[in-house]
Amino acid sequence: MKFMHVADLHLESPFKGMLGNDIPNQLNKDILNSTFDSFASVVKDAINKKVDFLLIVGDLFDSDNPSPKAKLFLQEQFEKLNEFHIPVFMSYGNHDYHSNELGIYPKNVYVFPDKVTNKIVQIKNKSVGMCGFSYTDKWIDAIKINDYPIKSNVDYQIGMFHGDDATESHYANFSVNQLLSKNYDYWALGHIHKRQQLNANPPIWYSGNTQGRHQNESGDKGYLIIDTDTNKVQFNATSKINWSNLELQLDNMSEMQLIQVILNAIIKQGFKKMNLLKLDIYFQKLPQLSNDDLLEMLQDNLKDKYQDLNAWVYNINFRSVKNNFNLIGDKYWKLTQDKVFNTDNISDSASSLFKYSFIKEYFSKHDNILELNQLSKNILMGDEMKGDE
Amino acid sequence: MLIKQLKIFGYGKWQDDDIILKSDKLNVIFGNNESGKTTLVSFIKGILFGFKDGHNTYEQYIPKNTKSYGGELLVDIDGQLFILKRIAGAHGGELSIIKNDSGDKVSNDYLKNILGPINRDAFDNIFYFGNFDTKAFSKVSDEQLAYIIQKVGFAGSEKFIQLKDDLVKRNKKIYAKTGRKPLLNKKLKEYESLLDRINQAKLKQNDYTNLENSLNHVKLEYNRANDEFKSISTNLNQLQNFKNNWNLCQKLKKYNDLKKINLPSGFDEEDKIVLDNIYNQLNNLNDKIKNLEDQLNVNDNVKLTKQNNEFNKAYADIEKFKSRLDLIEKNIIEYNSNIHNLNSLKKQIAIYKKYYSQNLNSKPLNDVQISEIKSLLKSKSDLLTQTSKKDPKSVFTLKNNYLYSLLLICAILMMAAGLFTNLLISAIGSVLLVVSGFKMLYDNHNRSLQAEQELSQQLNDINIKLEFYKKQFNYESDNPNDWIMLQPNLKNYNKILTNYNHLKIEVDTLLKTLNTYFDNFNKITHVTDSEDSYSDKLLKVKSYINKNEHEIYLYQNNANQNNALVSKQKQLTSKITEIKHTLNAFFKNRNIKNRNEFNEEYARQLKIKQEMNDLSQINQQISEEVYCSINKYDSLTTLNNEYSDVNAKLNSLQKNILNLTKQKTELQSQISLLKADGTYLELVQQKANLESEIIHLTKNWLSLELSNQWIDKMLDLATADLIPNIKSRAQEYFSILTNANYINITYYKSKLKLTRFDKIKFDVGELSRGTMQQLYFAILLSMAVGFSQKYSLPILIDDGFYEYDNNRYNQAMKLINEVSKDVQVIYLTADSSVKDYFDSQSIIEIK
Repeated sequence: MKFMHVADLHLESPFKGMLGNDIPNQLNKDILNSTFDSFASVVKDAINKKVDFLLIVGDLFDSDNPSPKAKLFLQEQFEKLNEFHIPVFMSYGNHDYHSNELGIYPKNVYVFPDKVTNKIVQIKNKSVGMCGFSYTDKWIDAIKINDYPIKSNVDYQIGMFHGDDATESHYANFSVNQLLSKNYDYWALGHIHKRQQLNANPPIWYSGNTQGRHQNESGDKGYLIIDTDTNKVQFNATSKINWSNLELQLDNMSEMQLIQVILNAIIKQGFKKMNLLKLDIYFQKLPQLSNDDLLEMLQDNLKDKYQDLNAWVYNINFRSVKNNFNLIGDKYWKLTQDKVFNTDNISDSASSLFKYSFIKEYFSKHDNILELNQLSKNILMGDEMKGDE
Repeated sequence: MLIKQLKIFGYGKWQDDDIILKSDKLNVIFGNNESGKTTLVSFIKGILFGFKDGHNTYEQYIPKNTKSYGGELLVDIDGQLFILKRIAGAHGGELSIIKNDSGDKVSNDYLKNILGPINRDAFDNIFYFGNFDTKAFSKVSDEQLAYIIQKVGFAGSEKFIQLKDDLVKRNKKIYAKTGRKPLLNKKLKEYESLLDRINQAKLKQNDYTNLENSLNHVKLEYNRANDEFKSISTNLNQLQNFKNNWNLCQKLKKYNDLKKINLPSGFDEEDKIVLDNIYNQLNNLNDKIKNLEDQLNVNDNVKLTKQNNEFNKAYADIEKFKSRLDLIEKNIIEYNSNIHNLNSLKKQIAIYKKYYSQNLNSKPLNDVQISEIKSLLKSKSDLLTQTSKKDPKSVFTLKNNYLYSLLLICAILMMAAGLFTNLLISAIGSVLLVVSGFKMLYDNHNRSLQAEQELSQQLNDINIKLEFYKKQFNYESDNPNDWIMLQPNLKNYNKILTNYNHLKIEVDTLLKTLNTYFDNFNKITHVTDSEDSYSDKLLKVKSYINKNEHEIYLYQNNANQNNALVSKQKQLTSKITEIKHTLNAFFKNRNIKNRNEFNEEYARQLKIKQEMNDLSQINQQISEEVYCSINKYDSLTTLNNEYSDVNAKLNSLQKNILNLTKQKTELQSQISLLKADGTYLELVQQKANLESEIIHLTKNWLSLELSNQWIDKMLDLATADLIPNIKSRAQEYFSILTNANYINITYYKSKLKLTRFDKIKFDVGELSRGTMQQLYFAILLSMAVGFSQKYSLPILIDDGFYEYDNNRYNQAMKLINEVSKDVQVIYLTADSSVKDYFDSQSIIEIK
């Protein structure tokens, strides 16, 4: 038999990190529909490949109170599967934990309750057990994995788990050993958006989410299809829009040249589907043009080409090739660096801005503080570099 | 650097003037107002840092007499004397530096290096004391002081200090804590309003659940109302039905009574039909019997004749004659034709006899005989011709003389040959020729004689044969050809004769037969006469037989018919009896006597039945149920009242349903709008985009802000060791100035704090104006002294003490003296009392 494993649909989840004021209308529409389109492709494939059932491991919705459009969409997709008699086994995750009030689904859909349940069904003369549970709150501290029974009396046993394999986490966590101890034939995991294999035999996989929503969810996204006869796990992409990074090393040149070089580099990539690009451009000497201005010009240029190139640039970073911060009085800079670039000082300096939680959250992250430091260095060096060499 | 001498070519009011500064320590330049003290200060600054350009006209000090501009300073730098010369020119003037002793030119960079980071501004801030501005000073924050210190105390710091300005400028554009113009502020405002819109959109979505609930509720009500409507509608229809059938019901009531009437059986339509049938049958039969009677009467008239009887008697014999009728008829015909033929033959015989009378006795010859005769004749003729001709040729044929011919030819040949060869041969030949010739002639002659003999013999034979024939067959003529010619007629005649004889015999036979027949018949009944022809006789016999047979037949028929009729009559009569029995039984069963009674009863029942049929039709129109239901109403009025009540109820219910339908439609359209509404999603994405923008701007702002801070901190750290130095000296000087009134200057959180003798601390802003001046003076002097250790430049004091009282003035002068121990001081004043404080060596008077 063969079945499909998806998770973290995050329907209606917005795209984060896009800069620039003039996103073309069609692209905007595609972005709004991207999570829906991706899942619709999953369903289409399930029907075409005539799978025996579909597993959805949590976070179907982005929030615990999704819009009617999202609810209706999911219902419609389930109806389609119902027409072709493809059962669906799903559970709610830490984002859509509002338990079973989210919709009345057709009879081919089984929703796991909050208690760990092992549902046994007959598929092609084999008894198949599916064990899972739904979240009822944002965090779960209980060790849910202990409630999973050891495999017995079934031909094939599947474990569905929406959680973390980290040692400490607020999201039902587990260790790979705990999973292996249950003797199951396949573990379908959800919650981590990066597709990864934790074990080969028996297969333990995170399927990853179905559509990337920011720069850290780059590359193809989709579903896993598992064939129990060959024990093969195969990935198929359904994401309509991919996030990717492009690094370029350029010398100072005129604006038009810059744009041309960038466009050529994009054309060379030969993207087959829509890609949202972040450019990291390394310069010997930072140009007079700011990265914001370049972004604006580039986006203006891309407006009529982006569909042919399958690419839209949403962010440009300038970096200096010279990594060392080489200024006079180097030691003084180094000694005072940490006094300035720490969370306390930053929150003091931007106290009026930090009342916005999203800003506060962003600048509490260590990586982002490092970036501030880098930008600062650019400014200090840039100034110096802009003048004499 | 110590300034030794000023040489002014042309500057302000000064022209070609020299001023020698005698002291390396304190130099006092005394001059009244308008004497050009400030001009001198400007001159010194101009030589050192460059003259001011045309933007600041009044500070250029271009001499009225424009002969020359600029001048020289003789300076001592680390023991060496240099001339700093600057004259009019671009970029602050043309500078040249010359070593005093050697006259060698030195690079202008030398001055730059001496000055270091000190530019005109720095100099003004540190080494020059002009009018003291209280306000400005009171606002002086520690930052600015520190800033000044940093400005001078750290090499390359200008760039960063400039950058700081730049950063602050850029920063302000992006964000300010209060304000609407900066970009980030705008974005944040946008963000706030977007959040509102999102909340609204979210509320709208929550509405969805409420709307769904409302819709379900309305749907339930609607269904309930619909059901009620249906049942009331049915009820109303029922009542309408009752109303419609009210009259019928009444009729039905009446006729229900009829049902109770008893009807004896046997008077149905079928019975009537049966009875009618019976009577019809009876009538039929009677009519039939009557017909038969009539017929019988007619038939009685038919009887047999006498002749018929006779005929009957002799029928057996007649029968025999009858059977031969056909044959006799044939015979008659034959007889008649034979007679006819006979006559014609007779005629023919007569004709033959007439023409061939003698010859008719000869016998005809058959074909064989004829041919023989012919051939005989031919042979004869041939023979005759042969003899007459005597044709030698016929004898003399080549065949006959073959041998002889050959011999002759040989002979000739030999003769010929001999002529040429040997005459003997030709002689032999000629002999041969003669011999053979004779022989040949001889043979031929014999032959022809022989032939003649044969011929005559043959002729004879023929004649004999011919003679035989003639006698045998009785021919007259001797010419056989005549015989032959006679043959056809002969044959014919004989034929005719034969035929005639044949026929004659036949005729006789027939005659006999016929006569016998008819005569015999006459014996039975005389029908024919002897004069009658046979045909007529036959006819008579035939008609006699036919007539009688026919009449008898008719009579018989008639008799048969009558019998049939009679038996039929009997049949019918018995039938009638039967039927009459049935009829009686019919009446008996019904207890009636006659047909009339039946008809009466039948009519009565029929009427009742018809009435009952109407009844049953009504019964069919109204069901039992309905009838009972209608009966429950005592009057039509009651029924009508109930009907109008129910009708009213129905109408109000209908209104209610309409209302609910409207509600349903409204809710459904609202819901479908919400279903299709992607606004929330769009707004959420907008929010995400805006957050990205805001974070981006914040990043930029923060990086500027933090860079600023970083520069500060760095400079702080870099100049950190400078500050304690300056602090301690300032404290000292301040103490001197205030006559130990204030004993301590501390920095508390980068703010200056003054400690009075009684240990009470004061902020700068709390000081009196005078004290503030003193503090300023103390700090600046201490800075100047501090810097001068690195960058030794003289301190210029341009009479800033006019606000000082005597005491303070005292202390100030004291301080100046003190300071001049470490640094060259040039004090310009218009205050004559200065002479009291300093010895005349130090004082330069200018007019």
